[in-house]
Amino acid sequence: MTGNRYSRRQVMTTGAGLAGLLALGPKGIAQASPSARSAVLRALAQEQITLDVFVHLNHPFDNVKPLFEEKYPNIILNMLGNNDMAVFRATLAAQGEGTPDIFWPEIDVVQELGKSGVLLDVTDIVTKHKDELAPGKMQECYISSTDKYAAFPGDIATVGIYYREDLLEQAGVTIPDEWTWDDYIEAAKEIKGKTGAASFNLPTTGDFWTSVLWGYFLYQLGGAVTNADGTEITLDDDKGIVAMEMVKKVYDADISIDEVPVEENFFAAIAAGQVAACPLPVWFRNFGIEPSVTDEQSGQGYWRVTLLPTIDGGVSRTANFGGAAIASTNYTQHPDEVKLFMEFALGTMEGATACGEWGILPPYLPYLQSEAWSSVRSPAFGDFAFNDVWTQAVEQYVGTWYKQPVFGEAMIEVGAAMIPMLNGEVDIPTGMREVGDRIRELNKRYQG
Amino acid sequence: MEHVERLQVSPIERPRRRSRGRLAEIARHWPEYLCIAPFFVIFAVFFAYPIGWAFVLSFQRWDGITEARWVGLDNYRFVLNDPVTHRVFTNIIRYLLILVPLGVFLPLAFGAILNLPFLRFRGVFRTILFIPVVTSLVVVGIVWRLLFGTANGWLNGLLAHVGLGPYNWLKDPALAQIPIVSLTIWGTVGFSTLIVLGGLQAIDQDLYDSARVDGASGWQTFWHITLPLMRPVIVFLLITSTIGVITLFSQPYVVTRGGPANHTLTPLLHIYNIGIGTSGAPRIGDATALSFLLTAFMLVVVFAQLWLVRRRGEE
Repeated sequence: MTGNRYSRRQVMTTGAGLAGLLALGPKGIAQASPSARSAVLRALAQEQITLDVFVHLNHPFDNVKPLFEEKYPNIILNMLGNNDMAVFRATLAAQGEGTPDIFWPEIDVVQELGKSGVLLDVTDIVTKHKDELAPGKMQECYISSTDKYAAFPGDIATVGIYYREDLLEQAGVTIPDEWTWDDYIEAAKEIKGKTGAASFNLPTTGDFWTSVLWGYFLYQLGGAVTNADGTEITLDDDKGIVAMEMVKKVYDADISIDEVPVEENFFAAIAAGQVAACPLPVWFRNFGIEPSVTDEQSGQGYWRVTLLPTIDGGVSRTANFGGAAIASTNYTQHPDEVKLFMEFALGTMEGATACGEWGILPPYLPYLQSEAWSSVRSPAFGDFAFNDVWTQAVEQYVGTWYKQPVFGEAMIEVGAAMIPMLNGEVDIPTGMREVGDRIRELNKRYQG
Repeated sequence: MEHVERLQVSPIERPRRRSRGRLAEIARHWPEYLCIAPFFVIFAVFFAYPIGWAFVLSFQRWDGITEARWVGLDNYRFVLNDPVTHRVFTNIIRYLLILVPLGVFLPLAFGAILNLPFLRFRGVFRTILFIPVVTSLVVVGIVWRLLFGTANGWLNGLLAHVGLGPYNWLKDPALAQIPIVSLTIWGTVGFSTLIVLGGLQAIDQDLYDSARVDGASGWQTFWHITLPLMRPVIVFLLITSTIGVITLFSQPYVVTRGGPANHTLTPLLHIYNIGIGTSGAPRIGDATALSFLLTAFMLVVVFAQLWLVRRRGEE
């Protein structure tokens, strides 16, 4: 009952706020100036506000929710357990009818929707925290055509080598501080010969998943699918060709497991002890390793992480796979509360700790330098301090891996074009030029 | 009297009088028209209007958010020149050649077996055949993926016991057709068999008795009585199988997502991918243009089949 008891002053200000709302009309809040909007919201502050959070089941925000609701008791987070962008886009096409308040888009979606002007401008809160956020991740949320930040930086999603120390020992392989991919491939052959386990994941599905490994190599080389603003396709330049030649080396060596990394067959392979090592993103610890690693056969306590091997002419020892951000749209009725959540979830120690414990790599630098981050442990990894490796990876995270709107379709097209190149039916420079031309044609459709 | 009057009407006056007469008829039967009106209203709002709007969109570039822009025939030009369009139509022709004959022959065979007078446990067999129709294709799709997995797939596990495999069922362009074809047949044959069974049971038993009296063999009975009388059912199966195959979506969506390298990608799945924007901004103009091309393709195939069937009937 106490929660519903208001003072005379609160009733008066709430009444004034409601009167203001009526005067402004149904679209009043959205159209009102920020100060007027804040005033109205302040007046209504004692009322319960529900924010619809459009994220998949088993999400880092599940850990943030109780902390946030305890700190801001009048804001309820309604976790929708869905991240189907087709559903989300349908609400946008319906002029915001039913559009959730918060969602977790990939960076190419941030760029696409940010350019269209439909995303909530969060420049104020991003610039407020700019010294505390990883610069590479901030860059991804910046829309150059509008000079605004369209999302709050989320998961950095660096990539490293997950490996099983027990299987490597069995094969007589030790990991040096500095090594090249060629060294890694030789070690992988040794591991395959002695244990039968794979050291790569290369699904020959001929789609997005096939091109992921190529994307890792391209990232390390400082290349990208497009230029910074997405107007030019660069994936078939020298770096793209070198990256594809490296994938072919891996393919020819027969040291990979041919399963999509986020699907049940790959998890089954991990559980069956068929995976000795694999380049995978930071979020894969919670997503694929921990659910699959439950006993001795799956290597419980023996999993480790290390930086990626170097590549000739490369600029980084990490790569990127996934890595969403927090965003909202101009349709939200609660922009101030949405920003409050964004700042709390990934711009404070409390929120970043909750997300970090889940298994993502938050962009909040004070957390990444804290004991709370480096002390995270998992049964699959025993006492190994895996987060120390991810901190090193953040230092290697480059801001040149541009994910412009054509990125997703381009990766699918590269994946489809890769199979003939890997089989040797098409030589790599020709194959890359053909896929580059195809994506150039496609990219025209993304240029307004 | 009314009939006599109508005969006396001059040809020039006839249309006006006829339309006036129709209006009068409608006015006279307004309760009946009111009863059927909801269908037409729903059809107009949820079918006719969206189809008309989609046709307009096929000449525009639109992502569902920003303002649509008129681009004339550019969407049609793009999709017609797109290698992925060529691939999806090649795929669908392959599926038509495999699935339509199977979709007609298997229900006929199962229907004939289930109609055998001496068959026991008929109800049990019918139920077993019909179970796939009422089973969620999404759930079955996941089971199919596990069944056809490479490293730990159940089928490869079984084949390993006899020294075969492992086969890359879902990633080899040739082998990937097997999960799609088998899932489609598994899911549709039960319903088609029920239709065949209904057709077989509707044939007058006296015809068979007369044939037997006349000394007709089993084959002659089938060829001269069963098959001609089952012709409408066969035509129905042919047309519905063809439309079903051309609009194939769920099976590749849940099992292969159109892979490997688009070798199981169907037109509808491709339209969904680009129209909804599963891997980038929605290209609604391209998707609607491809939809109308697919409709034209479907009409050509179905009318060609009907023409062939009619010609065969006349012969």
